[in-house]
This record gives sequence, structure tokens and C-alpha cells, in this order.
Amino acid sequence: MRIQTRHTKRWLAVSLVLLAGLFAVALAGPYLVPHQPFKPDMRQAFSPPGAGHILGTDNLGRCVFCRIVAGCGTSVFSALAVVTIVFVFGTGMGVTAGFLGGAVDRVVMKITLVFQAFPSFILAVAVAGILGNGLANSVLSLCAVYWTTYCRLARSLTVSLRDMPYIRAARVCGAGKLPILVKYVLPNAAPALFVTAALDVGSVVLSMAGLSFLGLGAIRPTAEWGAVMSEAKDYLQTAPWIILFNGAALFIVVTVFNLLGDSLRDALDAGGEI
Amino acid sequence: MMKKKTAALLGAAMLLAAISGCGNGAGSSAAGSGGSSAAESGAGSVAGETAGGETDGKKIFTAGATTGFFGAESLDVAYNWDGWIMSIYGISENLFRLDENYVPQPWLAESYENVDDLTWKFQIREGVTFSDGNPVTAEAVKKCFERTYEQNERGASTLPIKSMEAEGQTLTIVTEAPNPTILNDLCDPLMGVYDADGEVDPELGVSCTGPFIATAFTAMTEVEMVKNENYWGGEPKVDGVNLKIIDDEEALNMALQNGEIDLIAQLPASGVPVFAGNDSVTMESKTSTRANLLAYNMEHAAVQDQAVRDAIGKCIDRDAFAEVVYNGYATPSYGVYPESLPYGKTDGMDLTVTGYDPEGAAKFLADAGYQDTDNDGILDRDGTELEVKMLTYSYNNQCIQLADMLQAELQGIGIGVSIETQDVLDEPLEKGEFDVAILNYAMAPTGSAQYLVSMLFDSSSSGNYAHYKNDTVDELSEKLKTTFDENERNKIATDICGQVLADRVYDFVAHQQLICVYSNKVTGFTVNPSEYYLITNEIGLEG
Repeated sequence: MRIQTRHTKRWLAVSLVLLAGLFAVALAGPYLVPHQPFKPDMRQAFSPPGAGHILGTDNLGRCVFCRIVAGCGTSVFSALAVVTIVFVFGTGMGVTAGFLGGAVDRVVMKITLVFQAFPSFILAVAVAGILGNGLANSVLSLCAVYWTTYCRLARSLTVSLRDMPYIRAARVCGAGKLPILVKYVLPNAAPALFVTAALDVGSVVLSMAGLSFLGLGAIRPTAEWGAVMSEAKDYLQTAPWIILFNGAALFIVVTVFNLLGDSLRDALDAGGEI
Repeated sequence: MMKKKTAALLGAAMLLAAISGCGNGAGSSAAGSGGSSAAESGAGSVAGETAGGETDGKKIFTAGATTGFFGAESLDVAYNWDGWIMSIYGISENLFRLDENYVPQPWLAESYENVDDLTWKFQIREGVTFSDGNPVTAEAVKKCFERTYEQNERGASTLPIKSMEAEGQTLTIVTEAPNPTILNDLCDPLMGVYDADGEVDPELGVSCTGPFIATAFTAMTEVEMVKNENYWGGEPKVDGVNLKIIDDEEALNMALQNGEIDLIAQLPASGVPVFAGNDSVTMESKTSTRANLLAYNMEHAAVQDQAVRDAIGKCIDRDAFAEVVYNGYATPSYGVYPESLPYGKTDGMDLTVTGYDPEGAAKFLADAGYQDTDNDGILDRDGTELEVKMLTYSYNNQCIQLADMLQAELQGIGIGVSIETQDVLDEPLEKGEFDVAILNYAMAPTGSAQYLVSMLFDSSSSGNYAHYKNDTVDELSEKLKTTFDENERNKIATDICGQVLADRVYDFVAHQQLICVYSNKVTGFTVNPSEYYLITNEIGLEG
């Protein structure tokens, strides 16, 4: 896990600073915005970007900037929740399957095959459609899509590590299965899994926005960016700033997470393994 | 649900298209006409894909609208509300038709005679045939009404009939009680005339008499029709009509802008600024009787307390809703009917809600004993949080915006609000899965006050989802049904409105105009305020 070069270090630092900034906006932003993000002010409806409202107002006169800030936490933290859940669950399943082998391995792998047989976004839409609207349900539906990646990756890493000389040595020395897993297998599999997780956050943010765009994600009045863009598309010709600025916010967040994932991969030198 | 998804996907595609062609959309009016003229000039080379063009030498008229206006589940007049949509499509026709002033005029009936208070004789027009070739006789109309009454429970409440007799072209209807509005009732598209003897095609439904005949139909999606060569009212001026449901409002606007459709029926208000100043289209509007209203579910504890209903009513910014959401194509309303109708005035009535007053609303709640004892921002009383569930249409942008406005306003005074949207509201309304339903109804589409009274206010009505019961209203409703004198009828209707407004089981928000926008190539099109009629044999295409 040696940090490779100065260049890599610098990029990692930049992306971590950007991430800190994003967290700051998501956590503190809603308390600092100049206008109430959910309160309609009909007399101000469709004001273009300008002095009063820096990014303009929407169809109900709500400040677009304030709503983007208010929706930041929803997008960022729900995506992080998805990645955390699939990371823990998928890794747990994969490591167990890979380490135990035999019937357990075969069953777990077949289950992942079933999940992977569906086009991923269609599966998410179907699960969210069955569970019903709401942020928690869309988090679950995306978990159903993403967990297989971690499970299969963790499993293949475990299988490759299982017969390494140092693991055999540990076994000969009388170490139990669990200590071997925790002390030797997981730490060696972790870098590749972490990098995958960091790279996935961006795509989860986009998928979450996609679900909300289809009306399956956040419920009203949450200013989730995908949901806001879905409504704003009706005003594409008359008030394009609503959809454009929300889209830009989405773009920035995804870029920050992708940058972080890339620099983390370079830093951990795990690129060749995933 | 799937419709919504498809529409959203379409919207996403449109977004990409719009962004890629965004240079064209920069200057609104100039770009609008530029875009349309480009589409028009390209029509020749892509004939068949573009509306209004001649396909194989045939003139096909294409129109688009949202589910609320064009959405039929079947092409059976007797099924649910599909008769209404079939009348809009120009497939089915009635014995009478409403003119621009909501006065019934003979249509498939040539004349009528009011023999006594209960007996009416109708002379059915000679020489009219159904699209399957069978002649329209009094017997056929009788059989048709019998089937409709058997299949649709609204039949009996629309026009209670005791007996019918058919002889040649003379249909005699005996009503259960004196019915002064029988001609208006016969204009209701549920009373559309079709061939009940013929087979009901699983896709194309029943055979009717209108200027167009369906050749392909996909429920809640689109219908393709050809002209009825033998149409009794004169040969239709176009060879065919295609109607599409496009729920994504921007996609709907763009479909007209790029020439994919020739007309948008019931243009959503967000489209008004898009077409204002565009010289290649004509925008026409008529005052309709359609309104946005809130219905409170009186079987649910949350809104049983009148103080809560009053508070909600005072939080509705009707002026802003009409001015901003409807772009001025609506009139704020505190009464039941539009003021233009003789029973629409609210003068002298004791109205609790006469304006937007959130502070007054908060005071109502405080006086009624609601307090935020647990400091969660939501008021409570006797250990119960004051939370309401609002239900509205997923495709009606104006209703959704009203819900959004109310959610923020009500949360400001301590009422928790959740919003649920559905493509079809019938089921959740019947099951009572709402505290407040935000609805969009035509209040007097037949020109008669009785329509809404029978549908919403009469305690025995199947459409009284609010479970409103007021004995005086029920009595007045019965009286209204049998009163012939016009002035007396208007007075009774006004009295009913007074009771309904005092009981505050409904909040009427705004009466809207019916807006249609169409390409300048379209000829012979007029907006009818009753919404029953859209496609006629007079519609043509230039060039």
C-alpha cells in the first residue's frame, strides 16, 4: 500500500480536498443558504439567474441554488450508503464463498449470476417499482444491482490468496479459518475493493438521479437533483437554467468521486488487479 | 406507472436532443418560428414521418394531448369514462350536442316532443348508419342505452329512465321523475349511440356513427382512425386522424414545434410561453367549466375537524396559482362554479375562506387546540400528529404544483403533508386512500348544475369520494332534479353551493380555460368549451 509518486499524491490530495468541500456543502450548506429551499414564492417564479437569485428560480419561485445545496446531501449520502452496504455485504459474501469453496461457493456464485443476468438499471427500476417510491427503497434497489460486483471480486481475490504460501504457513501453524480471513485474506483483498468502491460512488450517484428522474426515487419535497431535473424538463425552453444547473451539480459531484477513485487506484497501485 | 416511465425516458431523450440543438432554442419566439418553418420545409422529403403531410396521397391529421384529455382504456362507450374520450376522438355521437353556450342542439335526434312531465319522444335522424353498416333506428338506440345502463353504474345517475319504447325512428323515453335536464343529460358522452347488436371488437370496441372509425388502438397510448366515408354530416375533410398521448409536456410542445403533430389539445399551461409569439401556430382558448379542487375525505380523522380544512383552505394562494401556474389562463375561485354561470356567484354567502392567509390558518389551528408539544415541527392534539396524505394525478403538472405549493405552506403552519401521485385515481379514490385529493374536474360539462351535484354532493353518488353528507343538500338535489323553471333551478343550485361552501368538504381553487394550439395548416378547427368535442368532419389540412 505504498503511496507511489509525488504526482499521484498531489492528485489524491486535491480530490480529498474537493471531497471535503463536497461534504461541507452537503452538511452545512442547508443551514447557510440565503433563501428557504422548499418555500414557494410565486411572485418570483421563473426569475432568470441574476442578483436576487444567483442561479435563478424555479416554477414555484424557489431559489435554484438553495435547492441544489439542499439536495446535495441527499445525492451524496444516499450514494455513499449504497456503496457502504454493497461493500460490506458483497465482500462478506464473496470472501466467505471464496474461502469456504465447495457448495457454498457454487450457490453464492449462482445467485450472483441470476442478479447479473438482468440489465443493471432495469433491475434497479424493477426493484424500486416493486418496493415503491422513497429514498430508502431506491437505496435498496441499487444495492441489489451493485452487490454482485463486490461479491465476485472479493471471491476471486480470496481464491487467489487462499493458496498463497503465507496462508498455508498460517494454516500449518494452527491458525483458525476466521483469524486467517481477518488477518491475512481481507487486508490483502482490501485495496482492490476500496478502489472499486470509490470508483462506484460516481455511477451510483448517477443511477440514483436516474431513478428519481423516473419518479422512483426521492419523494416530495426532497430536492434530489434527478427528481428536480425530471420536473424541470417541462420548462426546458422557457427556464433552461433549472435543469442545466442541477445537471451541472450532478456532473461536479460525479467528477469529484471519479477523480478520487482514480487517484486512490493510482495511489494504492491496484490498477492492474481490477 | 409504465406510461410515466416511458414518458420520462422520452423526456430524457428530448433533453439530449434539446441540448444538442440548443443554439436553435436560444431566442424564444424567433427560434420557435424558425424551428417550425424548418420542419415544414422538410416535410416533403420526410413525408410519412411528419404530420400534416400527405402520406401516399392521403391527408392525415395528427394531434397530441396528455392522458387526462386523450386517455381511453377501451373503445367501448359504456366502459368507465371511455365514452367521453370516444366523443373527443370523433368516433361516437349522441342524440344531442352542446353548442358553444352549453345549449343542447339536435344531433342524431332530429327533433323531440315533451309529451308530459315524464314522457319524451325523440325522432331519430333518418339515413344514419353505424360504421358496421347497420342503420341507426330507435330500436338500436334503445338497445344501446340498455347495454350502457347494464355495464356502467353512472348511467342510472346520469339519466334515470323508467322505460323505453322504440317504433321505427321514434324513441319514447319515460323518466322515473320529471327531468328538466334530459336534453343536457343526453349530451353526456356516456349516452353515446353505438351498435349494441354488433360484436364488440376487443381492440376496436363498438361501432358508432361519428366522422372517424378506429383502425388501430392502444389503450392510454394512441389511436389511428380513417374517415367514415358514409358519414351523415358530410364527408370528413381529412382521410385519417392519428391521436397520440404525450404526457411529457416539453415533448408535447416539441412535437408540435417540429411538425410531428398538428395540434395540441388542452395545452398544459407551461406550454403557453413556448408558443406565445410563434407565428406558425395559432393558440386559441375558451372558458371551460374545468376546475382544480381539493376533496377532503370525511371518513378520515385528520380532516374531519373543520378547523383543519379551513386552515388548509386559507393556505391556498389561489391568485398566484392562477396567475403563475396557469399563466393567467385560469380564474381564482372561492365558489363552486365559474362566475360566468348563473349559479356561480358567491354574493351573500357566508364564506370562511376568502383569501390567502397563512397566519389566519395558523390561528384557526391554535384555537382548535393544536400544539407542537413534542417540538418536531408538526402540530398535534390528543397525542395524534396532524399529518395529511395528498393524492393527485401523476400526469397533471398543475395539480402537482398545487400539491407542492400546499405542502410547503402547510408545513409552514405545522401540518405534515405527504404527496402521492397515481396515473389513474379511480381505485385509490374508491378505496379512500387519501386525506386530501387534488382533482381536476369539468364542473358543468353538460351545461347543467345537476351534473356536479349528482356526482360530488349527493350523498348517494358513486363519485362522492369525500363521503360528503348533508341532508339539506340531498333534499335540494332531489328538488333540482325535478324543477323545470330555469330561475328556480338556478336558485336551488345556488343554495346547494351555499351549503357546500359552508360545510367546506371541498376547496375550489381555480377555473381554467381550455387552450388548444395548432399549426396554421389546420383549417376548420374550433375549441368547444365543453370538452366533449374535438375531432370533427370539418377539420382539414391546407396544402
